Amino acid sequence: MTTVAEWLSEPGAGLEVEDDFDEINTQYLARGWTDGLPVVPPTRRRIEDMLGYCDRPWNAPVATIAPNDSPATPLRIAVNAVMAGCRPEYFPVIVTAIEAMCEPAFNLNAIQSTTHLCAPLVIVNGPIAKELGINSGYNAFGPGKHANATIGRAIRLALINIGGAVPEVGDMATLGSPAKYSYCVAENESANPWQPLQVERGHPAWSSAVTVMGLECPHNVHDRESSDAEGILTTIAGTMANTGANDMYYAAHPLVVLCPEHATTIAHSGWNKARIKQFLFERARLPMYLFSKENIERRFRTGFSGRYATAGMDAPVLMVQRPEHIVVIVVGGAGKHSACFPTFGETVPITRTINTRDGKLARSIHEFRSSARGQDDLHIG
Amino acid sequence: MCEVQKRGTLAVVICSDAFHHLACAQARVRGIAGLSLVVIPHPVTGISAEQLQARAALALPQILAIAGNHTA
Repeated sequence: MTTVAEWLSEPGAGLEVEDDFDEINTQYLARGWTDGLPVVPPTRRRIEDMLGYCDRPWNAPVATIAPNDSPATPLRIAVNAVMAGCRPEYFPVIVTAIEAMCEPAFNLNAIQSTTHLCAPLVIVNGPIAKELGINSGYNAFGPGKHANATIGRAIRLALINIGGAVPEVGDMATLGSPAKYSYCVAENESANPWQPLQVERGHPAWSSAVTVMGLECPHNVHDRESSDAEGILTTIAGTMANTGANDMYYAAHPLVVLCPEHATTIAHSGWNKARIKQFLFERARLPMYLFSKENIERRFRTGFSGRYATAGMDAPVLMVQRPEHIVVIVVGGAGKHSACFPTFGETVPITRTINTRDGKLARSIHEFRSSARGQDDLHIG
Repeated sequence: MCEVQKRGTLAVVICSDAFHHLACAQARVRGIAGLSLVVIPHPVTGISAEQLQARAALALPQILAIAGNHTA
């Protein structure tokens, strides 16, 4: 039986570097093991602390990460989580998110290596999101909160260091995006007049879950004048409809994030999520003449000949193929700014509940703590 | 294409030079490090029919050469 400490003591398992923050970061940067920012040195003690919140065997892969199809073991994920600056209690969320984005339907291989600037967004729901302090309020997609910043960064580092999404090598994004540094948020469930996302997707209200989506950065929707559902959603539909998105060429599942004030106004109009989605489906359309002649000919008339082969130039181009493909959540603080998130296109959202190793829904993050499981050392499974 | 090759059928991947490195890495990861790659100038999309035909003209002799050297 081998412990993490014994394994890390073997020749070649670790990197011998002078105990100096600058020297360690110089070495890591030179090897291409970072996102460009300084990292927390993943020492043995820090890795063991991180794995103290993992109830799986530390060396048994939980997934393989594309494009390199490299095994993501808890040990490897823990190294990246330490580097990102995570607290150990964040670890089960990170593992669950990585499992979710490695499901085939998410199409991580393409998301990682495409020229498109998409990144996997991690949406966390349920009591564990609150327990960990994942920001769902003011500036939730921006800086300032430790959990959002470091959970998202840990996932990005794992995508680089395990999956091989190295710029120009495995990540061929023409431009990339700031969302590729960190992209993690919680839903503002207390401000949500409807079911939270994980409940809408079939899980109990007391469950905690992670939903991953392959998305662009937020596109802001400022509407401080509209006073009912139709007004606000008209503005949002207009933002969803843009000629440069991938959405209309695929069965896209775009995200709409409603700020609490917009959500409240829409709910006061008596609208539920199904009606919101139906309205956005019907209004998020563009007349074909707004597209270039080459796109009309090659992508619509040829690519979607059944719908557009003989369509007139005023024919509506649908941004979304089915109303239920639109994902609606509530996030944010005060103010009248919602957001739309176009997608990579060929990807579907994946939701996974945060479960303990026996498959039961976790009620608290502390169920993962090794001492709570009566396990004080870290053995091969 | 790697799966096709693994089943014994010759597979040739055409890629633009900007993606040559990624194609090599993907072939290696999928267990066919020697997958036949035909490299043509980038880009492939957003070009005229004439430009596309010129790229096809570059690719075709490479494909035929690979096929000619292939032993089942």
